[in-house]
Amino acid sequence: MIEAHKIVEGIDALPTMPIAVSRMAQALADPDAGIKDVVDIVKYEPGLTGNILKMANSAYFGSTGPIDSIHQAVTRLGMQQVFRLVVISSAHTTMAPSVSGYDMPSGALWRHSVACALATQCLAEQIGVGRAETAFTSALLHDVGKLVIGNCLGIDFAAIEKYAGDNGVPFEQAERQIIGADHAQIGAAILEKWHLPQEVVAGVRWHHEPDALEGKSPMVDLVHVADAICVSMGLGTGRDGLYHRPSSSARTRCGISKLTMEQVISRTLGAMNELADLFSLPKEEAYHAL
Amino acid sequence: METMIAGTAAPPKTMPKRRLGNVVVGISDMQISNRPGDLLVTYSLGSCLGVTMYDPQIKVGGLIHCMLPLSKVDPQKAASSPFMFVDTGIPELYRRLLEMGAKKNRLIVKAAGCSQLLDDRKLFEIGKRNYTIFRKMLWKNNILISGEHVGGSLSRTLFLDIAAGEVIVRVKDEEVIL
Repeated sequence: MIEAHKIVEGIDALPTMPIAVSRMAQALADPDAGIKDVVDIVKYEPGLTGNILKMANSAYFGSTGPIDSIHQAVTRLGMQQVFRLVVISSAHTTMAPSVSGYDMPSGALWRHSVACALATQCLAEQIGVGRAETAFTSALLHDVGKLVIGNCLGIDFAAIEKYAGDNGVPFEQAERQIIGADHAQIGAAILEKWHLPQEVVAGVRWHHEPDALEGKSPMVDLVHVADAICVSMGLGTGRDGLYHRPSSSARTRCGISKLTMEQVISRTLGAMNELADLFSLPKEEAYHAL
Repeated sequence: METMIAGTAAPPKTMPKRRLGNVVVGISDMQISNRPGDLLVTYSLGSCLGVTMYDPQIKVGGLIHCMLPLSKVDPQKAASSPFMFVDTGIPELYRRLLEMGAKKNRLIVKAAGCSQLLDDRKLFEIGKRNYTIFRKMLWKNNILISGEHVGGSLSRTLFLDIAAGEVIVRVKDEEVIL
């Protein structure tokens, strides 16, 4: 077992998510919040306004005519869409580094995170779940715990991999066996430290075990199914490969048919290709050739 | 002192590490080549299906990376990206190779990928369905598979060397010649 203080040190060393993300989440939950609140949140984060405007003006977000202020972005695209841009823009620095324990060079985890967020959004749209911003944020950050344990010296990833392979168990179960905690638990601890909303934390904590969550949650189920889709399609996978156990109950609870899943897969890949430059997504070969 | 007798040694199954391809086939993509120096490669085959077809006589070959079994789930996407689906991609690979002068009776067909998540019986089984549709298509057209590396919960990289016609599968750091 790894000493707990090393994990805590790893958590402390991570760059904190900009406060804009949690403030935006609060604003979305507040029926009285308006455009002025969003403008106030965004304007104090250096670089955020520029990034958001760049994204808002891209064809993918259906911009008609130039958008040159956050005020305009909210009016034209809506608060939910602007929220997603804030989260994407804010998470890049945190999620882009390499994760050596999982054999993920710089950019690989980011690619997987964006794929999962886009798949979650696409699933939510297909099955008609409104206000799925919580699931979108959880999906983008679901593997944040990997950044800590995957870069923590002294963790024997070969042993974790061997345990999963020998016993035919999910990689996260092998993590618990060898390290004493898994990346979902560590991820949830990180997001709590960053004061993100509880629903976002829950999506990260239970993304591999949606059936273990008391009361269940459609948002957690969406993140789980989206993650399973992305892992299966090879969108940014690492050393854990396909060693994850999908929950068919989560799919059934959300009312996602197999046909819907395949449509989501096709659309997610399309969105990934369209957004590659805008979201700084590395091409697959950029890191496999290392 | 050990003596090697020509022709009796088994071909080496494990190759040197980190081979690099110069023609990259992305997800839902296909590449054809008859340039002798080309090494076609596709990465991260999970449940997706990777197929190589090669005519050793005229040394032309192709590699495709299909995501989903049937194009009927998204006909619009199938029209713009036929390589995304097994049922539209595989015929396209075959047709393009014949256009380049390949002959059906000389084509060597190999496959890799079609992995499954653990216990993936009910979620979507895409790897298994990709493989089933592929086999059916070949069977209907009387084409044999000469080699394959499919199934399990592995992530694979697939190469096709145009000069030698060699097909290599890499899983983690191990390489296997199909």
